Amino acid sequence: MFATPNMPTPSNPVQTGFAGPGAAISPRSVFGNYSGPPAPASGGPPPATLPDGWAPTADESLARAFGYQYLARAFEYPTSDGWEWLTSIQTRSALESALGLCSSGAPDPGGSSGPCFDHRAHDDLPLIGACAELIAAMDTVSFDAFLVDYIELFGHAARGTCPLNEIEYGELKADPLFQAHRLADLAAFYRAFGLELGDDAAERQDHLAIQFEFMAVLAAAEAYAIDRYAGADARAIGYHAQRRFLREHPGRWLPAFTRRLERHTNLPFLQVLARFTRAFVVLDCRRFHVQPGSDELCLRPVEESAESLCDTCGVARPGGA
Amino acid sequence: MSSVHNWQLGREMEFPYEAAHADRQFAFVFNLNRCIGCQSCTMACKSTWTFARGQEHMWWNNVETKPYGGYPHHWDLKLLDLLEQANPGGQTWNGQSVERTAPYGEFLGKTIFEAAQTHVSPEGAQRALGYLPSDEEWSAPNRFEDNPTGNEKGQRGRHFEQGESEPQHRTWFFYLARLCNHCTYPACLAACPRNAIYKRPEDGIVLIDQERCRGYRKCVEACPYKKSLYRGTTRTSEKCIACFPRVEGRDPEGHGLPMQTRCMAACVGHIRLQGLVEINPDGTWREDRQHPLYYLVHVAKVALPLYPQFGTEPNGYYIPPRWVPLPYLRQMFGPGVDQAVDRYNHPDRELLGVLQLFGKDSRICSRYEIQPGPKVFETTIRGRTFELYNDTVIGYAADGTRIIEVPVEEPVHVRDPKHANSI
Repeated sequence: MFATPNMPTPSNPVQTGFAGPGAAISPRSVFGNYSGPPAPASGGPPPATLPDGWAPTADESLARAFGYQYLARAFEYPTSDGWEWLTSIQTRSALESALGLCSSGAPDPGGSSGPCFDHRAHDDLPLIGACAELIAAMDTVSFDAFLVDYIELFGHAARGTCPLNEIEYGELKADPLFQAHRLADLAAFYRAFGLELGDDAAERQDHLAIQFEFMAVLAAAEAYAIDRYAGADARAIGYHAQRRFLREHPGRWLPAFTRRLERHTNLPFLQVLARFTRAFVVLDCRRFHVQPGSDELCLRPVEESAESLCDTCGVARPGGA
Repeated sequence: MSSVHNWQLGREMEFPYEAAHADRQFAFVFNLNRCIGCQSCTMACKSTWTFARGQEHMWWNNVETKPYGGYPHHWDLKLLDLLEQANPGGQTWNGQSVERTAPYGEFLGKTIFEAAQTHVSPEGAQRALGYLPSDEEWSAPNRFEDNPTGNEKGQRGRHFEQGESEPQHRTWFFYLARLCNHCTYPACLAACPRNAIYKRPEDGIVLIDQERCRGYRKCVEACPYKKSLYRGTTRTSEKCIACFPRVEGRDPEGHGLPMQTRCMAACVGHIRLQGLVEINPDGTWREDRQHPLYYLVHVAKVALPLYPQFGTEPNGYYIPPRWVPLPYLRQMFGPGVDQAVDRYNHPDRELLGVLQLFGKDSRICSRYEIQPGPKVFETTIRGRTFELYNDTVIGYAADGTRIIEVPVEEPVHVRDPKHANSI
């Protein structure tokens, strides 16, 4: 029988260490690389900070919300009712006045808007001009023509020429968040604000219309906060949430999407819509000090041979090393 | 980079941290001659730890069919290929074993830590040469299950004539049950940029701190056995935790005694034996002649480490399947294969006895005794005499409690033919 039991005990600070004299011995890891779980944060979260001069009005935020709402409706699957709303007189005038408010509150594109900007990267198409173009183009196209082009460009089952889903864009390996994780990230974002995809939703979390809808909700929430709460905290949450969402999601892939759309469509209305969408989102990015994404993002490959490996050995690609 | 001694490689090797060792080390031996691929171990782990949202794809324990299967796909081939690219033709052993410090000889090639210093992988510079498996590679964990090797000439639908002939079959497959090896020099721990991974001094179990982890996945990239897995819902990485509450003795079922992990206890085929071995200051196992794991690894030498050439000093050991061609086994388990297969093919009394300890009790067995029994059988196997003695093996837990008592020959009871359905 043993004289002393060979029983394991939970870690205690007194350990015989072999890391050499003078080395700090971690109580938890033999290599001294781990210092234990982080100390619990004292008090609440750190105070939210807002950039200098950040003072949107509730009207401006509501205007932005309407703009996003319009775009969400424009890119969801076309229905005749939806088309009627998009092109109605009331919607047109609402859009014009909303965008007038958006533009007036936006930072001067030529001014100092922070070190992260590269004004050379994106066209400085005034938003009002793009909006006027869009409204004019509404009279040139019928719902049927729009529907045909929509299906052809954006596809349905797998993918069309110009996908409306975020995870179709970008180099797989370069993306720090893999596709499936990017979807989870989006779902988590929505959930953090009390939103989930409806049971009858026909689209994934990364669909453009869903993302625009979410931005509309965030902007409307910001308007509510400005209206109701005097403190800076509520506004700060709104700022940071919109900024982060724009930076990680629509701001990242919209420029490439709109460029692609503009290039691939023959329908003037869609070309103009692409330019308008781009102008709106880029302006919003500037508002939140977000660098818009690249104009050129490649699409995820769908051909099996482009991404799969040799089935037998898993190393070489078929057709050569 | 520091220089640490890796006794499995029989030499010093590079590692990002100074040499340090646990007082006791979680270790296990799997007898691959007995694994039937029933996946009971897999499901035990899955139902205990990885049943939650975000863990659907995780198999901390998995059983894959070799040669073609793997979770993720071709993980071992890809690692071997990476190392071969980093050191073409150089991944060899010198064939001169030294007791205790170099039992398998000296490994002359590069470990993943050494290769990473001179060879930049497609993922970029790393602390341990590795790769990040794609989503597709993580799918279908039972891919190629039960698929044997095909005809050497690649003719579809044809297998070798008399492929099952002895001593090593030409048509073969085997089940490789794997979990985290809780390596002595873990690549995951070395690669983590946030020092979120730690190796416990009391039992050598390697864990990922879920609060400190940020999901960078350098551990997933670095682990050569691909046993660190990313969880999208929490955006952290997770891995086998060696059922540490059981190993600590906090499972009520064990009444305070340390217990084997869930996968070890659930094994239907009794292929698994897991315990805690004492470690010397220099990292070698303290000599403990009556410890079953020590006996299997260092005395009988039938249990060999999995891919020791990766350099992490894994604490998972395997008794190689004796029907598999030796070159394949040597690549997987190192140069000790020939001796291990021969020894297992002709087991002596003690080895037969120790093999009976597998799966007999869920509590960790730290010591065994063999009480001699009568000789019950004798024959000739492959030209050598084999004698079977019905010894009784006694197994003791760490505090001396007798937990196992089993004869080598399983008792047979013949029912009275009059009431054949009654006990």
